Amino acid sequence: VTVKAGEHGCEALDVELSAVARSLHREWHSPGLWPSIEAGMLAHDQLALHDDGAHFEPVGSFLKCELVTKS
Amino acid sequence: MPEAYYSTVAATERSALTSRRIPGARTATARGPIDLTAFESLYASHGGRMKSLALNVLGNRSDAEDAVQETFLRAYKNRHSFRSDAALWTWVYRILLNACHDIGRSRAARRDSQMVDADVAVDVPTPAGDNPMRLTLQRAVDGLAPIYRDVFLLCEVEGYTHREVAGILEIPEGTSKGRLFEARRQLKRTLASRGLVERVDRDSEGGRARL
Repeated sequence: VTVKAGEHGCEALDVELSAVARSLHREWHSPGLWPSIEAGMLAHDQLALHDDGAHFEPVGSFLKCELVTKS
Repeated sequence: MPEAYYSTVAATERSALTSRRIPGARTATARGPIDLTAFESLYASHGGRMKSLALNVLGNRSDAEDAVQETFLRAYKNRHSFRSDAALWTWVYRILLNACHDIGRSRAARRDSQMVDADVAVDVPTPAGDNPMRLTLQRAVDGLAPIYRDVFLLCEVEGYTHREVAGILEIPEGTSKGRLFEARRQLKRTLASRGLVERVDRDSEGGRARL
């Protein structure tokens, strides 16, 4: 791309830079992506449903953990 | 947002999504104001640009798709922390950029340990009609500091306004404008140093600049 210099040369350069930048936008088909995301979300929900809330949390130091229950 | 940026790819995927429903998916996840369907709509409307943004940060489609997937899962798991006074899509974009940075860091660490990652090096899509200027700009953008690169990609490549970028990055609009100005200044300097932009002298009538 060649742009004329002169009074508006810098502005033309900016315009051309923006035009080339827009060409960096690319899209492509990913037919399996949403189903994969959705499966991950549903798996998360399933885990949450069966989770009794008990988990280990670090206390003071990462070497020490305390069992925290739902109640 | 300039809808002209949307391609038929996004439209096709949107159509495929709306035509396929999982029975009970909504009720199984409707524990708050944001459910799975809301994220599905967000993916249908923004998924294409999210992948494009991630591609330009990470450099290959596989990592870009991983980043988008990780983003939606993080957003879904943390949806209860979403502030309802903010736009869901700006919140998700912020998560996307963080996911890209995390993946980029782990990839860099992996590359350091493996010396060369041939898959990553050759997986940048180069559509027909690609030109040296475009590839050089891509590399120059890669060389920007993340704070400038993110604003440049959101504004100039994906077409978001400074107000929208400010919402995504949680910065003032003026800061977004300043970062874009600095990004463009650095890019022009880099391109000039590689001979792709000749210095434009405002006083030299009839001179020419090559971009």
